[in-house]
Amino acid sequence: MIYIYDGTWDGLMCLIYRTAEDGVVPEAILRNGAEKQGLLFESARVENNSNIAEATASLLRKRVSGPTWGDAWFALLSGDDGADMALWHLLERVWRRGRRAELDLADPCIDAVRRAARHTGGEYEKYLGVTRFKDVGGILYAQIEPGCDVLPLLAGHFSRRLTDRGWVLHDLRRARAAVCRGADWYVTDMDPSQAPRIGSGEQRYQDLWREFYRATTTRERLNYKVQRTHMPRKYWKHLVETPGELHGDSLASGGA
Amino acid sequence: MRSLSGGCVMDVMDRLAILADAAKYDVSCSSSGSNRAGKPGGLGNAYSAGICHTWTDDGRCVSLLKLLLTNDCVYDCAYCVNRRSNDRPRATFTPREVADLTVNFYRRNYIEGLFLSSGVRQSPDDTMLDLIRSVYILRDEYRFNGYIHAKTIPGSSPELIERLGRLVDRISVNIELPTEQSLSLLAPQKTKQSIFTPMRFISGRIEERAQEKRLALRAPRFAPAGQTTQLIVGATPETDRSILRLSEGLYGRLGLKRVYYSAYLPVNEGRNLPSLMTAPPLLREHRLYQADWLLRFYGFNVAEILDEREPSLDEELDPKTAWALRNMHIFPVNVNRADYEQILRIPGIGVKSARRIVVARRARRLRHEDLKRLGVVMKRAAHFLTCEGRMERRPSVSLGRLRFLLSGKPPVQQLLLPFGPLEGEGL
Repeated sequence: MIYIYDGTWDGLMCLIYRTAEDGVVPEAILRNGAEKQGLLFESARVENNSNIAEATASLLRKRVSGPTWGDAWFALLSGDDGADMALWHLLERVWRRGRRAELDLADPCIDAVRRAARHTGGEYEKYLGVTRFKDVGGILYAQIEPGCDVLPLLAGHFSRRLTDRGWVLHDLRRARAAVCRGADWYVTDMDPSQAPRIGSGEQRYQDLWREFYRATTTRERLNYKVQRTHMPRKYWKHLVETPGELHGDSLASGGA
Repeated sequence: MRSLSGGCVMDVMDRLAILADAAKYDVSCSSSGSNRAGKPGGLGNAYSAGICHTWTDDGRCVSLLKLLLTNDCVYDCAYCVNRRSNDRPRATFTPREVADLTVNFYRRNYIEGLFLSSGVRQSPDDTMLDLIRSVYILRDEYRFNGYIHAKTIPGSSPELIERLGRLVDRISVNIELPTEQSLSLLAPQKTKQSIFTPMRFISGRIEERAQEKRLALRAPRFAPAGQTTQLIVGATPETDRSILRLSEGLYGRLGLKRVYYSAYLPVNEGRNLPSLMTAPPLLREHRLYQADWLLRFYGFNVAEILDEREPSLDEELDPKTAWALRNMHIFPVNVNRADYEQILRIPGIGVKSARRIVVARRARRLRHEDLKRLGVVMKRAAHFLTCEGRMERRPSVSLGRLRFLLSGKPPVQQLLLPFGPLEGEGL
């Protein structure tokens, strides 16, 4: 049996409930929209039900340690191939055998969940730093294009940090945005073409930042490899500063 | 805006260029160690793991807005680009300008906070007051809760250090030169005492604060992210051993959080300095950091890493592998039975993978393929461990061969120098 669900946490909980009910191990788990044409196996679409999701989650939560629970959530956000299946196995196993099952770090499924979680965690940590807000007339606005769905994680972070202004964090890839006024934030659809214009005075601080970035570089120790190891080019697009300039490889120069 | 020599008033942009450039010789960049929630009506919080915001073309991370308040200085330290006798453009920020830049950069998420240092204008205390003013405006007026690292000025009074320490997350005094001889040679206006007195004062206050906290008293905080320092490497003839012994003492006795090592960039000509053509000893700096990690996280002491006969770190091998090769009688270590401490000493195994090993082996007997999954770098580790009582690779015939496998360099040294390296002979 192949199960198809919506890729959300609630959806995953409903899926686990459903497979327990059916008493089967899924052949595969797919997300809405990712299902291939002409599936050979029988497939079932899992409907979301918040009551079932909540009940399943609270039951599972009692058997899973905090760190593993966090890993499971991060793994789900990664959207990595095979992560959903690994997650199912992990949660099912912990469900049956309790926390002892979590110890088996060398197990391929548990390892796959950890890797997927690390993928999300890595991107999240990177975006904590490289997200750049612009003043768009009293409120702040930033664009990101993350591979993993880190928008809700980042929104939580910035809601704790940027407490004196409203802000919008726009995930261009998923056409969604986190919007924050005061302490609360929510996620809404937002078209990538809807980027607001920058406010007056913004250019000045961008120029100052670029100047600082240049001045703080030590030219006697240029190291392109280390720079790109820590900050791969995929993170450069929405920066204000221009990395790679001294290596002849800034985005502006159109380097390889 | 302050006018400069010549009467012209420099734009903030020009002064930023000068004062950021002048501050870059301080290599500390971390923004970790403080965890502070934001406050309503305020701006910012502190994230205990620290956040890097960008990486410059030299591959170093930028976390804090690193600035000097001024690069005017009454001191004339030979190694320093800002020394009095250098003919360089001088600039000064007002405390308010620094606060304004910090807040506006922070809000745009360019930075994690401020790292403020200064040349010494007029007197150490005058300079300290300007540092305190800048930080005070940030904390009090802008209600800024982000990270602040401030340098104390050598020779300033304890009362001012106390005030600064209550406002900032981290505080530091740079030792720069590891011995008193080097200090008197290159920084004759500074003394060992003028450096270590404030360091001892700061570590005393941090310790007191920790004790007060244990008693659950609400005491004003003092540099919650601790104290750090910096040592310049390669400007003076100290050995790696004497540098690391100093660090060991600083971690142990003064409770420092970090010692930074800065490969000396020849910025000045001087009788007692390496020539301007000398390349910064980057590999040596790298090896020192690796050894420093062994001291802080791997339970090593300096005596195990270096001794009088061999006072310099091996350039071809990381210090942990070099140590392992000198102590082959301990290996191979059985990862299914050995203590955490023993496993941590295997080259190719770090703190995280060692921890995972001791957890995972409760669930199953670990095999070689499991170890890879746990994050072990088998290319190195395979020579030093066993799983089921057998090694994946046959023990290499000779140390020289093993050395070659691990460093990627042919074992020339072994053949040429059977009686140990001759002085001045480099490979």
